[in-house]
Amino acid sequence: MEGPHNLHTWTGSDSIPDKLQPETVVWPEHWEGEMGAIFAMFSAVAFPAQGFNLDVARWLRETVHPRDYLNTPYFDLWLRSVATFLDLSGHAARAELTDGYLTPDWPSPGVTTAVRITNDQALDLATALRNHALDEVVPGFGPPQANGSYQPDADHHYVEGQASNQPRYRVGDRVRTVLQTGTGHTREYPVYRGRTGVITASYGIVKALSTPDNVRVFQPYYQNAYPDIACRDSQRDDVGHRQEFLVPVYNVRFPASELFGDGYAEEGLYVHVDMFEPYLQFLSAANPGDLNGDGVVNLADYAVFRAALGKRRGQPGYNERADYDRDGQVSNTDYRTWLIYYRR
Amino acid sequence: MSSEHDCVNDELPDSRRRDFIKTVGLTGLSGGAAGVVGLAGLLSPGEATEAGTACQGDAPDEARLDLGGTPIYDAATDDPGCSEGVLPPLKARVLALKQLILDKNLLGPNGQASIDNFVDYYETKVGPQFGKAVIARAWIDPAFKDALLNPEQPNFEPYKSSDKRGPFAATWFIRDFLDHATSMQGIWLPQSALAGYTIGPEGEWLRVVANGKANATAPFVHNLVSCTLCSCYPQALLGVQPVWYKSRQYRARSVTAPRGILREFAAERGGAYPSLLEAYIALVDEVRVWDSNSEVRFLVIPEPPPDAVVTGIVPDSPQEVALRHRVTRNAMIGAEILYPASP
Repeated sequence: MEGPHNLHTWTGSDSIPDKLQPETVVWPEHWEGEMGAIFAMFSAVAFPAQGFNLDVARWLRETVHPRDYLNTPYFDLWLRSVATFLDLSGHAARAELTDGYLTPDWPSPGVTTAVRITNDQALDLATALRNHALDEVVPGFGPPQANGSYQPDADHHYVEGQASNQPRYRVGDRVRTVLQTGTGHTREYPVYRGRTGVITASYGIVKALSTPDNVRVFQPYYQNAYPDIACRDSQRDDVGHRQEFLVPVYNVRFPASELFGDGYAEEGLYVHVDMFEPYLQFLSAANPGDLNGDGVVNLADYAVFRAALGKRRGQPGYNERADYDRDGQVSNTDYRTWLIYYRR
Repeated sequence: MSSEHDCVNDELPDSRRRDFIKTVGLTGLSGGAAGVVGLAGLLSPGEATEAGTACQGDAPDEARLDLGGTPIYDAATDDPGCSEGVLPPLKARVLALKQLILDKNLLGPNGQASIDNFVDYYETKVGPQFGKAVIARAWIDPAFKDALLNPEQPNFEPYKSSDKRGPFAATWFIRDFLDHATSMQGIWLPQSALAGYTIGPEGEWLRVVANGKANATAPFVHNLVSCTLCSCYPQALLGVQPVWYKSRQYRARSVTAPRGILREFAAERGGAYPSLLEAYIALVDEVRVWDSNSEVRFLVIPEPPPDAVVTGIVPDSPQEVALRHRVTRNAMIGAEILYPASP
């Protein structure tokens, strides 16, 4: 979503609070831990199958009216996230959330008081935003199908629920981030959109594995679903489930000048941001002639080029690394370019 | 507009702050609010007082202002024409939500016990002591440090030929260290306490980065970790994130002015700290800000404090344990550096 949660580079705020908070203070107040527990157990234990996960939770936080968002304390955002989920999913009646719920020991022990958890306006707004987002374009996927489900666009090849661990990009590649403006949840924040950076790490993508007694099998690769789809826990009957696409993830390095403008940020500053593959467009490789990624330019790379020759973007076999002039087709012009790299 | 907002935040005591919001604050807080709250939002301060007192809103929460500013929810009321609707204090609403969830058994039949277990894990089991142990070991054992920083190609056995190598293998190396270090016995957690994760929640996909120079000719790098959207944090090694890490101020400024963050922390300590920091900043060639925008978590190995000896230290010796106490949580995020014991 576009909104004040994306407050990167905002100026004018006061000093950072509680900088020297003692390390022994876990939560300034006990109920903060209880709120954290409710949120964490909702996403990890109680409702993952019914559509509450980290990405849904984060999205629901963002549905708070922009005017109110900055005036809403941290744990209040989590409270609203959980309360909105209970409303959307029907696990609580609207009136239970908005008309006052009988709460024991408030405001003092032995006293029971009706306490309003949230209000109709907030729940109506979240519902409207969510319904809007379910029809929206998602990077790498485009708009939903007629039945409301998302499928990758012609340029991407992911299969729901499967992980290839075959990243399309490599460390050293120059990439440009895509533009988007939407009402769904994304991890491509506004300051990082439409920028050019270099991939510094490739995190891969695998499916999480657990033992029968629920202990995670260690795998040193990324394992979480693409948030932009996973946040859309569809309530549409014709989809009937939350879609999870597992896409490769990278770390991309941006010079501060690329993000903020020349001279506006501190000297010698680089921002490293994790990027899900659909956020990225290929620009150029660190070693452009090395098409198979083995570190050298040789006839093995020619074989890769030959396999892609004549293919257009969107066709099987098209290879963006071999499309040196970026015209959407691997042609003889590209071959002459490859030859230059080969003869170097 | 901004001066009134600052007043609300900084200058008025809590009781007066609420009165201030009810009278003057609302009209000043947000021009955009006027269109939503109706005519009352456009009234002069004196008239707004009347509208405000006509509302039957509950008292705003005044306890947690530092996390988000004023607790006003304009237009957050069901009463038509009411300019200021405030929900009950946050603590009350959390207790109400909890009660609703318990009444509906949404966390199972022993919901309160589950909540208590979760809180207990963070209050008594996990904390920055684990991160500090990792940092001290990395200081005294360059091979371990190298493995943490190069998890895809660790340079020593048994990791070098392990099938655990990969972008997040540091998590595995850390688990191996914590499991086997005799000095962590009774401190490190049994596997049953790790919630099914390798080292605990928010640590499964971990990257370790180091301040200083990677080699004699490399630039001097300082690393700062931020979660600009919210509050992602390597909880398995550091425990619960501090209030400042979650604050909108830190989130907003960390990406453009990391040295400014360092300076603000040093200024808060006062005394000789700012000048010691400037001496460090003068060494820094490059600053890397790591935005925790995925489920990857970052841990910074800070430079040892200038008066600490880190060579020739035997693993698990009292000297290594003493080094752990020289590490601070804030330094493992990169918001502070480590200072001499008596600056």
